[in-house]
Amino acid sequence: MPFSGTTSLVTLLIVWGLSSELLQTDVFPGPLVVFASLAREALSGELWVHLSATLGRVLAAFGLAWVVGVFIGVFLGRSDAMDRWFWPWVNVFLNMPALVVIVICYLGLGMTELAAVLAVVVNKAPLIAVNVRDGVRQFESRYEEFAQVYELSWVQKLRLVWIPQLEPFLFTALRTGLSLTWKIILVVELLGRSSGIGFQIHLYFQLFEVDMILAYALSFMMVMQLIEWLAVRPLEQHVQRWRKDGQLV
Amino acid sequence: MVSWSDCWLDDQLIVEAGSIDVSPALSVVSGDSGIGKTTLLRAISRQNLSLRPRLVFQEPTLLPWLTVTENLSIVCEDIGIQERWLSLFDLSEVSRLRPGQLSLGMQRRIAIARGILARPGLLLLDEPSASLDPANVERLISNIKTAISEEGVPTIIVTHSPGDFAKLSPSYFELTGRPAVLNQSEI
Repeated sequence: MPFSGTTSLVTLLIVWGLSSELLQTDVFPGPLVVFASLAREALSGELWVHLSATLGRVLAAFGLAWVVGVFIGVFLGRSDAMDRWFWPWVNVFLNMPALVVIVICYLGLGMTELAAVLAVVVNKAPLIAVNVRDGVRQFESRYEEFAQVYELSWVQKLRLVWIPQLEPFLFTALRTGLSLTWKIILVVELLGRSSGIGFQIHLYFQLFEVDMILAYALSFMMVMQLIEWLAVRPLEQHVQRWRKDGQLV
Repeated sequence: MVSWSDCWLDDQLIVEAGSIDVSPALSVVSGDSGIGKTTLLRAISRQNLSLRPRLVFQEPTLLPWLTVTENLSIVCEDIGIQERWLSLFDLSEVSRLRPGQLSLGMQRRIAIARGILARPGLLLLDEPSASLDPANVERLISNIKTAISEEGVPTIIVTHSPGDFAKLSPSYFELTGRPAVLNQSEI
């Protein structure tokens, strides 16, 4: 992490601590109290149970939303006729409130894991589809023509021509989709699951223990930030390294 | 002999049907800007598939996310053959670089190497000398000469500066008129 980022986060912690000291209220505990609660939950093992439950749901739901969204995006991006027909559908789902989708899924399928994951897929796949559709529509025709003239196989086109052009759009979808998915998962868990960060937040809301609410929320924010730093960003830098070549000429 | 039917663009006839004898190693087609030289080349490419034509575009269309070697591997996985052609074209030292790190002239020459490595029955070059300085044009012509002498593949070049290729003793053709018709010509 760059120095400026570290400084910024440390400053935020200091501001948080000072504000909490000044306000002196139970609804706004300081970072020391929250981190102490976090450590206690981690040592008891409770944190890992709920963290892994939420992470599992996020990965399953986002993975499925990704597959569905990419499929729809490619489908709409490649065919004007299909785009004219189905783009309004995607827009409807894009603008449907997450809460409505979650409630309908729970009512239709019961308070099950499938309903929880499906609710997120229905809510997030359109966002991924929009990104992928835009990417497909910006494919450069000269590379398509090259692929045609040199008789590239379907697999070669996919691997060498289409995916590299889609990468910036896939990463945008990955980053925005992942961050939105986990926030929706918390609502899904709060409304109808008996494990996960969302469930714990609901529990401590009823017990009015704000430090525990913040501790659990913070734990997952840290996990998501770690995923960004350790997986998403290095992968993005690796596959996009060729974009810097122009500066070397 | 390669032939083509009438070439239309938006209900407008651009180039009339015709044919060209490609038994000489090199044919150069010239004509004014916008007359339909590239349209003709694309028509020849699409309508003579039995000859296994390979078109080298004016914009080199090397895939910018791949290195030079990886670009060549798309059409020929034999590293030995790749290295031989890079050496013949004096491009061995750039094999690990990506197109964005190369000059336009180098990219053109690599695109021609890729066209040859695809084992064409007919090589089509679209404005290969456009926007190049005299030194790069010299290198390019030297590479085309090597390609023709090594592979003996019939080659058609369309260009707005046919004089660039005089050293290669080609057969000259010119596109003239509206719609354009191809005629044998002198430089």
